[in-house]
Amino acid sequence: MEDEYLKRIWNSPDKAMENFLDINKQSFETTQIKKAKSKLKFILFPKIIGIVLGLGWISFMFLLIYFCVLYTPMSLGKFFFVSSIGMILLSTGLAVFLYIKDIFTIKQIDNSQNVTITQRKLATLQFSVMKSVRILWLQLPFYTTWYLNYELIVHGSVIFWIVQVLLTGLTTWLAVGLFRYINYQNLNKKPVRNFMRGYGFYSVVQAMDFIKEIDDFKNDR
Amino acid sequence: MDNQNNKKELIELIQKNKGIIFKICNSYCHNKDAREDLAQEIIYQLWRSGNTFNADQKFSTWMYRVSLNVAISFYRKSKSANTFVQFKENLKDIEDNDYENADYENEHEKTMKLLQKCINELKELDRALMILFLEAKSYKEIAEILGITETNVATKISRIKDKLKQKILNLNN
Repeated sequence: MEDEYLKRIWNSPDKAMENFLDINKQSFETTQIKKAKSKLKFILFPKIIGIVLGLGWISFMFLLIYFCVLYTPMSLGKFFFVSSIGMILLSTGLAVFLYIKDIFTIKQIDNSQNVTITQRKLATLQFSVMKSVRILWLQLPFYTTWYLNYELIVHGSVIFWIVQVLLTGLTTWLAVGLFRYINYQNLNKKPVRNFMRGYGFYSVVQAMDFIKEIDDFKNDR
Repeated sequence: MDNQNNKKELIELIQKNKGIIFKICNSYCHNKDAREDLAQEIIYQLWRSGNTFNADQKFSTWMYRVSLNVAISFYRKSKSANTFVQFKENLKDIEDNDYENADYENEHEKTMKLLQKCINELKELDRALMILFLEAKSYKEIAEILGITETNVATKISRIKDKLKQKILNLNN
């Protein structure tokens, strides 16, 4: 079976092709209206949801800090509350910033660039949700410190301190561990893949696989 | 391509090259509805990206880039929607039945069906590569469309072609 034979077969006239698509100006404009809203929706939609939820959370945290700073007297409790909520606000803000940055990148995707460049950019965008998730994990320990105050610190029982140290220690270990472990290099490891799938990030795993496939394709591996 | 004349010219060029959209839709979608949807998406993106085409390059090169990018994204989107696996399995049954029961007019038509089936089973990027090869594009043009080196194109084509031929021969016997 020669190359030319295959090419001849592939390029032979097809009856279905004759009836396929009547492209005219009207069909273009109808399609344009129909598709205008669907552009990259599958990547855009989760990011918009993330931004809306993130901004809602940020506003809530901001109000808490604002009222606490304005209406409560200076104390050790206030220090722990404001600094903990402040760190949560900071990490949520960074995650939202990354989502917004992605949306601008999505707007710049150019389908007329070569296939491997465009597809890698798209897959990286899908994968980039992980950057935000890693940053969000970092706020975990601060959920165990915002309620600390003078009374608890000075007069807290031994049991309280054991639970507190265990809780803060464990969440810090988990947050730092996940931040360091969940990255592109480790995504081919089974525990990380299972973790991602378990948290509903299947499309991220798929995106990562596709990035690898593109790199292999480009480098002929 | 901003003004009306250029848009008219773009429509004419796309109409003239609509075979590209037809072949790509057939290779990345298996049912009629999905094919129509993909064709519309490709047309929309071609229309939208019209201003990125410059007269120095070949129109078909530009059209292949846009169409393949849209098709691969569409295919991946269907895959991650999770319905694709089930759809693909169902389709495989339908295709197999079609293949066994169909009364082909000639050997030529049968080989075309087999070739299309084998192409559809390749990975997204390999599929794009083989479409371009079968469309008789030069290695240089394939390399430009896909963004890989000409040597890489040659190596990959030779590898995939051998597998493809073997597959077609096995299915034919």
